[in-house]
Amino acid sequence: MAGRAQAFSDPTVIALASERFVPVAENCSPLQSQRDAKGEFFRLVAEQGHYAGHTYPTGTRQGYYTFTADGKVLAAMNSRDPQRMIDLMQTALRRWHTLVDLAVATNGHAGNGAASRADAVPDYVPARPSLYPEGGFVLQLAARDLPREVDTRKDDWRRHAWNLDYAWFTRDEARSLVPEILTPGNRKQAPREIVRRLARFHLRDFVRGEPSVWPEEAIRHGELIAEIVEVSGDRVRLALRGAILLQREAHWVRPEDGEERRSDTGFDATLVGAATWDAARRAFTSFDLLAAGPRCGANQYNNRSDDLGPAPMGIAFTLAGHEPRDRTPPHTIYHRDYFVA
Amino acid sequence: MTNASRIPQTHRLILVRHAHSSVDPARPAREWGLADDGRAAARRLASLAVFDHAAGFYAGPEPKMLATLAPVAAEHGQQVQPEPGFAETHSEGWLGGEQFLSTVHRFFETPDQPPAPDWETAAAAAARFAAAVERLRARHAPVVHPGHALPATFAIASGGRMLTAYLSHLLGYSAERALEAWHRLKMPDIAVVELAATAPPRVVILFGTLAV
Amino acid sequence: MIEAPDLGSTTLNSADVREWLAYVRPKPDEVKWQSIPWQSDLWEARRLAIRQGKPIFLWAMNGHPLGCT
Repeated sequence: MAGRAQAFSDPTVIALASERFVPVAENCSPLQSQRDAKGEFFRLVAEQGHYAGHTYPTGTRQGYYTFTADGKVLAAMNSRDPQRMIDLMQTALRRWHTLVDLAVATNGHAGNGAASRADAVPDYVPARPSLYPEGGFVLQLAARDLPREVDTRKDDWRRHAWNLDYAWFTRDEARSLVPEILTPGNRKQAPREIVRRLARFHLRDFVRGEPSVWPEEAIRHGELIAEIVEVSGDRVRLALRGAILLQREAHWVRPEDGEERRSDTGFDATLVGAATWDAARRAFTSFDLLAAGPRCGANQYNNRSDDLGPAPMGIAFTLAGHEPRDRTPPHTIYHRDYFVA
Repeated sequence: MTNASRIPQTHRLILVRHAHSSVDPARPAREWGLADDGRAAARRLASLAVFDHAAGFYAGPEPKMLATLAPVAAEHGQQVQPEPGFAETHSEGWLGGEQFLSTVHRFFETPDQPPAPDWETAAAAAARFAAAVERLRARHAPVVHPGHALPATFAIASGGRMLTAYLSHLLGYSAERALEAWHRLKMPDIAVVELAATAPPRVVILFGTLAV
Repeated sequence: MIEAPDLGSTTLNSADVREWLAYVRPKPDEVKWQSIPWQSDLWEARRLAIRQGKPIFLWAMNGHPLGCT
């Protein structure tokens, strides 16, 4: 997540990416093995890039790739340094013009990668259909460490780390949070499925990385209550309050050296917030929920080995917008239990 | 920290079929250079990042092979090194049209027999090419960075029959598959092959995929 | 300076939650990357690249670059 601020805050990088390229962002974890045309295309690109053939210590292909629409890579790297990013883009543009200009001079048309027919990219059947809940309830999450009385974190990216994620709920699940009878003082316990999804998939310590989901048995306590505080026409104001306690011993093997690791991990979260329900549209028009409390421990992907805690962490839930980026899937969306009751 | 004993001993070959040559029936094919459109295509090859991690650029000694890879090597501040082991399969005399095609068919169908007088067999050519590859594998070690490693990669330009014979030998192609692969080759064309110490050889990028 | 809440109990209340939400959410300087018109689908980006006659710039991460990564 540090790369977002570092590489893409430079005005030249922003201008080049926005104006001279078609910028696209994807999670390469599924694409590295996905058995469909999109996965194959990503692998064609990745096997020309900076991590071509990379298997040690992992098979990651993450980074920055510039390429033609038919998959010829022009330049690629995995560095967040803004100057190197500018160099990468300028190299790519120089090579792009060589490809296009020489093709036009030789063949009379730009040819591969710069064809004028949009249907040159065929339709395909995705191996993983989108699970985006059309017309549903989409939240954007932000996670950050809260201030500590005694701060032992290194004064580098770790002290300033924060991260984003998304949470998806169906339209019916949104309604299930609101009391049936819209009268001030009425309360509604969130269904177990909602609390379970929040707990297992969204109260992860993802400030510094991408921890896996909490197992079911890690949920020691979980409740979320919505209370109607005001009704004005179709507009229903709700107060949200709850608590979720998660605890488990994490085990993993470090890929670098095969060493086994374990850690007691947990998050003792208090939930407080407010929301507005539009009874006519049967949708939330605002949703602000804070989950805050002490977290502890490390796991394979949360980068907390040097910060076991306990130390306070906050996760903010907010209604997502309508930009293409707001359709970004939750990190754990393809876990088999995500939408399972 | 990098653990040396865990670094995979893997090599990647970027195989390049030469660009369009300037055909001159009066001279042996091995002396032909590139046509104008072949030279332009060779310059387009230099725009491909697939070559950015190549530690060396090698070609059969024929001018068309050296000239195909020369702009790529120059883009990376290097020169193409001629390697006799990567020369096109040896042939003699000018065989036009149908006669040439039927000879090539025999070349793949009976790899242990010369398809025409004084032609090299497919088996002998593949062995020659493979021996040169092994010499280069000994010269190029995997690239070790702090905390991670990448395969050793080098580029080889050669001719269509030679590259197809090598891949057939390496991957066990049938005669039909070899002929089909040869027919589908473009000028120039690129394939990426991975040779690992602990896994069978595999084609990572097929010929025809990155046509320029 | 925002003081740390008493997180050992349930004193986190509606009055200060707005302030803490603002603390946790990204600041404008942290989300300049959102000013780039990122597409979220590689396949659609290919179509757009052909229509616009431009190369593609792909930001690929283990974890979604626009989400949790």
